[in-house]
Amino acid sequence: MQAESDPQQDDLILAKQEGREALSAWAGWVMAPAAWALHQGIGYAMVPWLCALGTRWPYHALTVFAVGLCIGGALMSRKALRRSRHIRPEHSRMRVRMMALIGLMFSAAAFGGILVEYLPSFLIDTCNGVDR
Amino acid sequence: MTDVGPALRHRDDAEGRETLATIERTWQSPKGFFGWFTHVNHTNIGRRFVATALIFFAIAGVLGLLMRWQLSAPLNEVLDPDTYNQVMTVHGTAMMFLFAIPAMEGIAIYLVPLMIGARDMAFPRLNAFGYYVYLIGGVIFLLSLPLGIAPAAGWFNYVPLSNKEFSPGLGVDIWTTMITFIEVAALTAAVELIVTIFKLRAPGMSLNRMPIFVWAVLVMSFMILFAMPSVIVASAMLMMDRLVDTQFFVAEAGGSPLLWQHLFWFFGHPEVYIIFVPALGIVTSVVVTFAQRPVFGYTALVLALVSVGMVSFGLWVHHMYTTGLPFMGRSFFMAASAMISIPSGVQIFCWIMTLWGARIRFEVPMLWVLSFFAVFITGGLTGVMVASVPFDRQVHDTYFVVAHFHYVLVGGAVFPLMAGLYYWYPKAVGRMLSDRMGKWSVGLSFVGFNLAFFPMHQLGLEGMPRRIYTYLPEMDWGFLNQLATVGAIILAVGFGLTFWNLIYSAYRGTVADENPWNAPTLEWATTSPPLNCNFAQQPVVQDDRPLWSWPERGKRTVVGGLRTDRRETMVTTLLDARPQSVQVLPGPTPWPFVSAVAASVGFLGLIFSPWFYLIGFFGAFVTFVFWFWPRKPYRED
Ligand code: HEM
Repeated sequence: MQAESDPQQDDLILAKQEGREALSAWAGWVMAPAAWALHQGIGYAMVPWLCALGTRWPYHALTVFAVGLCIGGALMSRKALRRSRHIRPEHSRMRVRMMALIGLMFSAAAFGGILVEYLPSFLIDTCNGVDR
Repeated sequence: MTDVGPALRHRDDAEGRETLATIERTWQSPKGFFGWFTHVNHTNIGRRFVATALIFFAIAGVLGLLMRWQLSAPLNEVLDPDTYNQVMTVHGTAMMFLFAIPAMEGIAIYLVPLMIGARDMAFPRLNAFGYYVYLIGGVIFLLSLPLGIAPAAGWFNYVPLSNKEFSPGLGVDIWTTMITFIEVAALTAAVELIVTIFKLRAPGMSLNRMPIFVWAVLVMSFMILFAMPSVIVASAMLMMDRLVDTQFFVAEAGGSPLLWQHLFWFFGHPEVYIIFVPALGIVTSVVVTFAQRPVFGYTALVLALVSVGMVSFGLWVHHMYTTGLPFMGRSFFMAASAMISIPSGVQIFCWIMTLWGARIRFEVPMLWVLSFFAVFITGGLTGVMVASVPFDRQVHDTYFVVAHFHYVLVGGAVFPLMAGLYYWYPKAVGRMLSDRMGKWSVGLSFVGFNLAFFPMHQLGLEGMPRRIYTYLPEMDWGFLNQLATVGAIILAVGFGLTFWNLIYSAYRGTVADENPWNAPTLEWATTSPPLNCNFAQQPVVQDDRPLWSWPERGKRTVVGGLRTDRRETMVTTLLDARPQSVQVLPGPTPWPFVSAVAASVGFLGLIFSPWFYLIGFFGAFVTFVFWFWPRKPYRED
């Protein structure tokens, strides 16, 4: 004979499961914008320093790091999206899908944002407008 | 949880009525003059926020008209130069800090618990505290104008103009202390809105079922949390420069005036979006209801809202293009400024698709939304123009910029706010606003607004600088300025009609039923105006449009087992809103008011002496102790 399920107990189990998957659910939401913000903020602040140094390598390294962060966010979101197939009940599955999709799109958008800010820098002299 | 059938409240028998009466007594707010200072229910506090913000809007609007009167003809003498500067500064500051943000927060405080099926906010006393802080700070700030001691350095208070040397007197001190103080209210509201949205949603309302308006409020609250500390720090530093001779912004002593601009605009630019994002939520609610179909692209809209919130923090340097920053640095911000138009475009696309092919009901809220589309898109287009460094350097500090930001602020925030007022007034007051007056109001405001602000683009291109109290006849700016003034008067009549409508209809309006617009969200599932406890029984939801799906299902599920003799609301999990526990909420108390008065004494005193910092600190501390004194139910438990 199958034991009757206790709805309150079920809720508690599901609440715990929700806590465990929260990290991957939010990954794209946090990592991608953080990547874009870091790239913009640090990139902006390092311009006078790049000029004094006479090289752009630190800036390229920063860009690679930021893009890596975006890719990390995208991968974690993709993982959440794949896992969502097995999640029950239906509305939890839809919620995980929504969050993962937004995480993926965020990552793509942040990647685009980083690129749009990165490419023009090749056309501009780092020392243009810097007080020396 | 229990199924209660299609009925929206307790059983209509003796026992059901008795239960409802008990809950209503538990959630009741004391009556009378002294009782007013003890209210903590979110519906009371939200209504007060909105009403106070509208009064401040009216005052700031009159100041706008005064400026337009002065500028209607060359060499006019309605206002002298110093008074003009004061009026301009108070107008800008009041519109931004005393009207726009608090009005949006007020609507959020009123609606969010209703929309998510909760009985109140997570921290009702903090809510009340925030309101009194805002009220006291706002009144003191505005009083400085009739007393002739108002700040006159513009709403962004640039140093060195606002340093002691160039702005002696109390004006800038009033600005720094009162703005810091008022921002405390914004922060308290943001914190509790976030907690309320994350933890008090009705069971079943997982994140993907949350109304778009609630998403918008969530984004707004996070933005406040990240943006406000920056202006609080900046104004505290300026306060210290002026009060105790620190030199943060004094270039000769090694300080940096540009630091002020960075700190101010790191707050100031997101600020515009803090106002705009909840407006997007209002627009979505109205569009869905008057198209009578679910929103197109829910996920895309959420993505767009959150993106707007994030990207808005990466634009601040576009206010500083002319300050001589490195070219490469500026290029980052030019790219980001152009980029923000993408999520805005996505939103507009979603709304158009929602409306496409629908049988739209052109009621007054919808007319405000259509005006919003026209005006906001124009403002957005000039926004993309000024985002570009070369163009901005031509029109910086001209009337082109004044035209641009009024198009986005009035179009992007005030018109949606008006839509929201017409849409939710029946819920808050229990009566409909007059339709005829509403239609006249939209028409006049739309025509008046465009007449007032469109010519300013041309004036700017002709080189008319902003913040001048008059101009010479030879400049040939007289006609367009006159046109702008006539437009401003028509606009004022348009908004005035809505103000009159709000008062008139409270007594004479047609009585509204629970859901007069056939809207899908939970705030319409209770009486109009709502019960003291919001919902006789807290609802459980099965999708994102419960009021449309309940009749199809033929039944409604509610939360059972909450006590009726104390203020309880359901606590649920963050992502899927699964029942977790019950929160016992505090009842009416005067302590938030007393604490706000104590803190005000400290802040106001700071204008005169740094010692008031200590007085305010200890005053607030003592009152907080009484405020947090353990409450009875916990001792009994
Ligand atoms: C009710 C109709 C309004 C009129 C007639 C009006 C008129 C004006 C005028 C004449 C100026 C001064 C321009 C100058 O001398 O540079 C101004 C500035 C300003 N207005 Fe408005 N305005 C209105 C509504 C609003 C609204 C709704 C907001 C914000 C939500 C707003 C925010 C501002 C700001 C921030 C400034 C800049 C102040 C400064 O330069 O420091 N205005 N407005």
